[in-house]
Amino acid sequence: MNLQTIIMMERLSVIGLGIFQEMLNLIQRANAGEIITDAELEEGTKRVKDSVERLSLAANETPDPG
Amino acid sequence: MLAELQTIDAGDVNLTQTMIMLGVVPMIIVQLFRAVLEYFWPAGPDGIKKPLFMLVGIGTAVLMFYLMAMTDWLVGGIIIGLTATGTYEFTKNMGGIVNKNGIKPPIGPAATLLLCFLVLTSGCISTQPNPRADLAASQKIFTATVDSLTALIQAGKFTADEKEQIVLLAKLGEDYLIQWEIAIKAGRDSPDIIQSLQVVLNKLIEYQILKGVEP
Repeated sequence: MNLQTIIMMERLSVIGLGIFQEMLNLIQRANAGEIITDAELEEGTKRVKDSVERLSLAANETPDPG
Repeated sequence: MLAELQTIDAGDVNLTQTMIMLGVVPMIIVQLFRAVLEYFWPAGPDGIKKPLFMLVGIGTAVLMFYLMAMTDWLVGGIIIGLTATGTYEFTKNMGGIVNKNGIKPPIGPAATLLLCFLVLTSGCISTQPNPRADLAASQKIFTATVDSLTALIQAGKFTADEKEQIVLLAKLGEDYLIQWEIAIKAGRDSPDIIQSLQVVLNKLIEYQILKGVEP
């Protein structure tokens, strides 16, 4: 297993734990009848845009495997 | 249409959209578990490994749903865990592990793109009775999926063609979520998910035809 794969697995673990925690929190809030505000939705959209931007950059900058 | 999609009636069990979306988590965990196991135990017999992966997938799903206090957590966890682990073949060797014979099996481009399509769209489905929480959940799942794909790209797991298609899918998903946010703020329902999925599927089929590969 090379270093790149280990780093990838570590990042996937962090992402997996993060989304689990965020979803748990969101479900608890939704079950409590809490309203999701416009500001939170805008923040979510900003995160989506930033994430896609990082993906595009990584796709352009990472050399092909081989 | 949305009300019909809200839950899937599996006999006496209701699988909610959140349960289905969270199926991505056991799928990733099974892959990680497999990568670690094959590293430390490369010659282990497949007869033991495959049921073990399935148990890990089911166990993870059941535990998650129990901790989230979901209705039908036990049977729901078993069904989702089983389904998520069933996609094992699609994600096979995504970690690029060399097998016991010293061969690194290739990742099929059709399977890889199908997986990317499934995980990216898993967050783009409006079915909850709380539209704002539903959009927020979709944004979070989508962001986590795109970040995961970024990690895979940076680890050199995709070819140039695959990267191009993944970026295209991600941009379509981003556009869809932006339209969804505008619709929610205006007090409307989400955009037509079926129409959006058709656009994405057509792009994938075009790609497969271009590559001369069976979809």
